[in-house]
Amino acid sequence: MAQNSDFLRGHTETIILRLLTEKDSYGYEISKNIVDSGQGLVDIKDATIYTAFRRMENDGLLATYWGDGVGGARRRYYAITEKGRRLYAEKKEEWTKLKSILDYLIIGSDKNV
Amino acid sequence: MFKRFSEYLSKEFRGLPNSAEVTDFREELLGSLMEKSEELKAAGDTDDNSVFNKCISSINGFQDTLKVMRSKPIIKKEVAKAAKTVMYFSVYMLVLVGVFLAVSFVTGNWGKSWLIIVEGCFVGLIILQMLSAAKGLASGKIILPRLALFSSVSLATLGMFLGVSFLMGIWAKSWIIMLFLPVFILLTDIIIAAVTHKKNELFASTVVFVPIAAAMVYVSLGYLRVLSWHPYWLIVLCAVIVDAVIVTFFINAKLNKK
Repeated sequence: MAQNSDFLRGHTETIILRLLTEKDSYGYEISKNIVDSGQGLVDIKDATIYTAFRRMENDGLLATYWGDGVGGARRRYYAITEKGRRLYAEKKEEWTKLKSILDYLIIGSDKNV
Repeated sequence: MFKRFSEYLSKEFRGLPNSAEVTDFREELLGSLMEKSEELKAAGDTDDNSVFNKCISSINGFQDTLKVMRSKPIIKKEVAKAAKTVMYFSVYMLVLVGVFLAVSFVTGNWGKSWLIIVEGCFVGLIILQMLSAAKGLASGKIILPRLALFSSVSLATLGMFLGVSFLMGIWAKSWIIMLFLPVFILLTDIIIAAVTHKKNELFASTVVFVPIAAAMVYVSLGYLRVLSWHPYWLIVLCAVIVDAVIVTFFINAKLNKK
């Protein structure tokens, strides 16, 4: 199956928020984390991640600070804010409902949704 | 590779406004490129050109963000920030004038109460500079926060000197406060080095601080006739010995590490 960034469309921010609930992180690590967790089916451009960061920071979902990087460069770390945590909780709940609807629509099932 | 990436990004970012958003994004991309190049090298890719090209293509698409940054009107965020600062400043000045008038009318001491305005301005500037220094330090910058803190310390010292001199009228003695300015600045440097965990700077600042602080204490206590000049010059000698001990410990620690 070809790599596909469409899987993530509309969910990039939620995924970033989820990763940041575990620990503060930086762009390269987050991007790598998403691709590595995608079992070869998911690809995401760094540019998509950075665009999402800008938007989320402006919306007050993320806070940033600088840390040491490699080879003389610095890492820009992102931390989830309280507002970000609240949004993540909402998105997670939304996803749980949506997932069962999609299961029903795509796979088909007797169960009520 | 760092230089090559830096030059590439400088070219791509040419013509963009010199805002914090732009410089942060540039530095973030540089960090990402360096991470990627280190990873490729660790995986056995030794050809610099190949590593460079792979890294650049990994951030492909960032030009779209640059387009957005280019088209942004010169930042309404910064205008709003400036307006907010002016508003806070006006309110602060009004409060100061209010306190000044109240104190002056109640005490009738107009000759000295004007100090409330001067000292209040100093305190306001100090708070502003300390806030900007804390923000700078948190974002990993060193030079500007240091300058801001040095300026705050200088203002605080000057404020203390003026306050003591005008209120107590001891101009012949109060100038000694200004003598301590280098000591306060060095002490600030020590605190910055400790907070930012910079051991070498901490060591260097401490080594300079100890004898200068001792000399200033000796001179001022001698001048104020709190202590006699002899044998208290030994304070300075003790400081030099303390310095020698610090240097020895530092060198030992370095050698043990190696």
